[in-house]
Amino acid sequence: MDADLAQLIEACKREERRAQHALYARFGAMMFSVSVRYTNSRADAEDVVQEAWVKVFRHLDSFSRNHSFEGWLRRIVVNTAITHYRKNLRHVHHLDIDEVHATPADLEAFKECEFTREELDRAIGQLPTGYGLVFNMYVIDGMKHKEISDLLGIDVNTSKSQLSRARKYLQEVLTRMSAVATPQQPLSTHGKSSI
Amino acid sequence: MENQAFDRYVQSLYAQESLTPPAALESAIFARLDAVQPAAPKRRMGWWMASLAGLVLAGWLVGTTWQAGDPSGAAEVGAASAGAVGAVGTANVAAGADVAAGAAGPAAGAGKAGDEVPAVETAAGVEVARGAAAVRSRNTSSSPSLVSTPVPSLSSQAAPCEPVRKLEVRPFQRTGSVGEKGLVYPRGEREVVAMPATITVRQ
Repeated sequence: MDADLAQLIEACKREERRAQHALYARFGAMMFSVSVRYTNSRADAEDVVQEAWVKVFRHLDSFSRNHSFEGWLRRIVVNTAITHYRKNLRHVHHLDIDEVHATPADLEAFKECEFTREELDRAIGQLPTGYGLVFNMYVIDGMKHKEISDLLGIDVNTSKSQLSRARKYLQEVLTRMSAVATPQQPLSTHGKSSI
Repeated sequence: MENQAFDRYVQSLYAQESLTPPAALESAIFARLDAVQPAAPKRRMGWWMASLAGLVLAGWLVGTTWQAGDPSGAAEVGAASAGAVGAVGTANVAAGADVAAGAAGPAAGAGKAGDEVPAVETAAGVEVARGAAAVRSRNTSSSPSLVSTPVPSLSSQAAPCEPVRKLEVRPFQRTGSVGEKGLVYPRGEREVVAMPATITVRQ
């Protein structure tokens, strides 16, 4: 951790508003993008990131200098997003995903494609919510299956199988995206769903 | 594509994830933060005000305690000094029975040996009265030059002292009647009896 950040954190611990604004300016974009990855809509992402920042400022004393501050922030956003997801679980539509299979030919086609970050965002956004959570947590945020299972309240093997299915589903979606001439249009009829 | 390669590919795309949040989000966050965590300067000012108020309160308490303790201490000092001075035969300090309870001192001091002095209700007052009377009686006999002290002389008090009836609280005796014993409290546990009290000062 650099000295500037350490000073900023110390000032935030003293609840100095100016320092808190500076901290927000430094990490606000990162926090918001993590929140967007874990939620269905920007409105939900804003709610989650609001709550996450309040938690950050209130519990800054519990941050240990031995750890990565950015990692600590990410974990707070992820935890807040999962809590938000659980609260709104009853509003999420369910979809059977067993019918989704990527063929070997799709995967071969996928290998030759290069995707942008926005395209990948859209593809992940089309994953069923439960799959998307596991994929985000494992692949992008680097969590272990044990942590994921604890946070989501699922079995470790369930986490592994969901990750595997999420990968296949994502590859299939990306392959179809690469096949579509105008990738800006909706790529699939699949709605946002959960397992 | 192998799973690990795919994961690395995705991670590379998210390595520097940064999505500009809407401008209104910052104000919303800090407005919400204000609700749970008031701004630091205000809180610190509140802390200073609380500290100052605490100091003022503590000072007032100390002052009050000192003032409340002083009369009793003065009474003790007055009584003690009255006795000590009585031994020495100095009326000046005995007249320092400016203690409220010892106010009967001058009157007692003005009396001669064998006079009845008004009884006072507190032990300290009685002590002071006794001390002052003793001093006074010595002064009148052995060192009249000291009579010019603030202690008023007997001649200055033309009217003789009326005996003071002393109130005593005694355990109630059911055999006694109201007319004889005095006022009986409704609960019948204690009674107040008016008793004539006199103190004889001997030389």
